[in-house]
Order: sequence, then C-alpha cells, then structure tokens
Amino acid sequence: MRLRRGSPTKGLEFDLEIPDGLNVYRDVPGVDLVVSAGEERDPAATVISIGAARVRSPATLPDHVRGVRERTADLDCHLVDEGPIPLAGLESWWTFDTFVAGSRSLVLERWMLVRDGVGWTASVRMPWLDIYSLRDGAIAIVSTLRFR
Amino acid sequence: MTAPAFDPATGLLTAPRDTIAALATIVTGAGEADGAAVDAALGAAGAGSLADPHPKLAAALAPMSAPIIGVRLGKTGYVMPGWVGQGRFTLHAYRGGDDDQLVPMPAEHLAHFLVWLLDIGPRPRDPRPDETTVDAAALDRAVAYRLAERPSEGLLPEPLDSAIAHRFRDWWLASSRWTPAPDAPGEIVLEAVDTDAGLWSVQRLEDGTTAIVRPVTPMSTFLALGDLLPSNHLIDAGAKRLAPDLTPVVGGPAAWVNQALAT
Repeated sequence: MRLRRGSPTKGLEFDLEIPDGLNVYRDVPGVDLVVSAGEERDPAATVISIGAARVRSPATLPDHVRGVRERTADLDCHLVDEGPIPLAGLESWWTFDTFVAGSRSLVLERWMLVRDGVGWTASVRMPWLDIYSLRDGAIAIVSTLRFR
Repeated sequence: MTAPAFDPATGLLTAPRDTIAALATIVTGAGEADGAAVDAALGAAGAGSLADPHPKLAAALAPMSAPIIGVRLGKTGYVMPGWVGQGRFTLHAYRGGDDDQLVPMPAEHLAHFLVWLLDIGPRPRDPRPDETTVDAAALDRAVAYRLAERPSEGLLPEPLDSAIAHRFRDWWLASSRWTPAPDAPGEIVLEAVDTDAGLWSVQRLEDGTTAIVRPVTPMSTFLALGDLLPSNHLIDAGAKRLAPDLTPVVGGPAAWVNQALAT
C-alpha cells in the first residue's frame, strides 16, 4: 500500500510505503499517522508513528529532541543509544530507549528532525521479545518516509 | 547492617549477604545451610519461612528451585548469581555493605534491567581500531588496577590503554548457561570494559593467554544482552532443570581481580 497523508494543518505532507496487512490509523490525537501490527493500544503490538509537533514549533533540532523526550518523560525510559542518522534526506537525531509498561518490556526507537521549522518524529515501539524478528522490517518502513 | 526487609508488592527481599547465600544454597539444592537462620530472617522481614514463604517470595524462589537458565553477572569486580525459570528471573544482587537483595522480575525484563544495572547508555562515537589483540593477563591487570583506583598506564596498546587508564567506567561480565538441545550451544558469555571513550567487548581465546578487544556500541550491546535468554530451540526441551553442577549458587569477588592486584 502506498499512502499519501495530507496533514490536517499547515499543509504538511509526507509519503510512507506500508506493506499490506498492517492497521493504519489516521486519527490518533497528536500524531499524523500510526501503522500497527496488532491493535494500536495493545502493548504487544509493534507500532510505527509519524507526527509533527505543531503546538510548539522548535527552532532547532536539539530543541525538538529535548521537547520530545520531555513529553514522554512519564514512560521512565532508559536511553540506551543515540546519534545522527539521515532520514527522508534530512539530518535526524536517532534515539533508542527501553522501558517497562505493566509486565511488558518494550523498546522505543525514534528519529527526530526539523523541516521548515517544524519538528517531526518517526517512532517505532515494539515488545523487546520481538526486536530480533520485527525491528528490521519496522525500520525499513520508516526509511521510506519522504516529505513532499 | 539493617534489619531484613521484604516488599510484599514486588517480592524484593533485602537481607545480609550470608542469609541470601544460605537461602540460595538451600533452594537450589546445592547443599546444606543454616535453615533456622534463614527462617529467622524471613520471619523478621515478614516474608514467611522456607516451608511456607509469602506468595511473592515463593514466586522469587521458583526460578532458583527449578532453573532453566543459570546467569552470572559480574560488575565492578563482583560476580552475582541469577536464575531464569518459567518466565521469571531472580537475581542475588550484591550491594555496598553487607545488605544484599534478592530481586525478582519477569524474565522478559532482563535486558531492560541489565542496561540499567550496567549503566549502558550513549557513548562517544569516535573512530577506534576494529580490534586489538592483547595479553589477557595485562588486560586483567589494567582493569583490576582501575577497579582499585590505581594507575594502569602502559600495560596495553593504544588507544585502549588510554581509554582504560584515563576514561575507565567499569568492567562487567554477563553469562548464561542452559541444557542445550542436540548440536546447540549451551552457554553465552559477554564481557565488556566500559569507558568514556566507548564500550569494548572482550573475547578471550582458548589459548588462555590472548584476548581480542573490539569497540561495540550501546545498541549492539543491548542486543547481545538479549541473547542471555536463548531461543527455545536451543534448550533441551526434555531437561527438567539445569543440572545442579551448572547452577550458580553464590557469588563473590572475582578471583582474577585479587590475583591481578597481587602481581
């Protein structure tokens, strides 16, 4: 499936290539697009999300990264690794976190970038137990992100 | 030393090192120990007794009595025993002073717990040599010196030497053993030196005198730690439990640290 998502505000747009069989959600608050293997709210699901921070447009990538981490501080993540990784032809800051939700051990991988003054975040959340079988496929989907 | 304590919500037991070691000796079936002293400590902590443990303590003890995987964690010169059984993991965590903890958790929390325990986080990404072959005894000596806060310059090739001498954070080892399925491996050992110049994995060769040190990222280290829980197909499905002689029971100071400091 090739999905073109027209953003509801500011005319922002991106393309993402999504394999058939995954659930696609377009109306999750605060997120432009959610792609999920399993139900989006199920901690056992692998969830890919693409979203822009439109309320507080950051001026710089460090501002955006700081804001994203502050907004998810309640997850009590452990930051394992981070570094610069290109995404969609732009410089992005990649982070890899682990956290526990209920009895599940989860990982959260994020790519944060700033385009035309707007901060974007692509993320993959998945159970740690699935990381060896599903991570490569999830990253392959994120890597198809293209801005229009 | 403080009074033994038990958290009925989590099953976390805090008690003197000798008490937890005796508890582990009895529960793993490794041998005899002072059960009356263990019962006294458990009773004082509100954790029941060996014969009738609090349900949360019983859950913590279950992997010890029927371990599928035996875990050894070495950190800062100390080795700690852990046990995995039927979806649960329990660790005898060594702490400063005499009061240790018996820490239970779902087995799938192991990697998350270890990155916290081993303080694995972002490190510089400066280029480093793909691998450095070193004399294993010299590496042990350099690490032991740094653990003892003694200088270690000049023992190893650069840039490893400077990283350990001036930017040392810690040394750790994580290993697990299981009853292997036919033709499958039965053990994994991960050893690393952590520095502010980055993490370095240590591979010890069978000759016993040589080690190969390679730079690794925190991400690859996290993935490797997950291998401590082997896939089911690697474990002999017919084995009722890990053999007693392969089951870890008690920990203690890593012998090689004292040996290296003595030379």
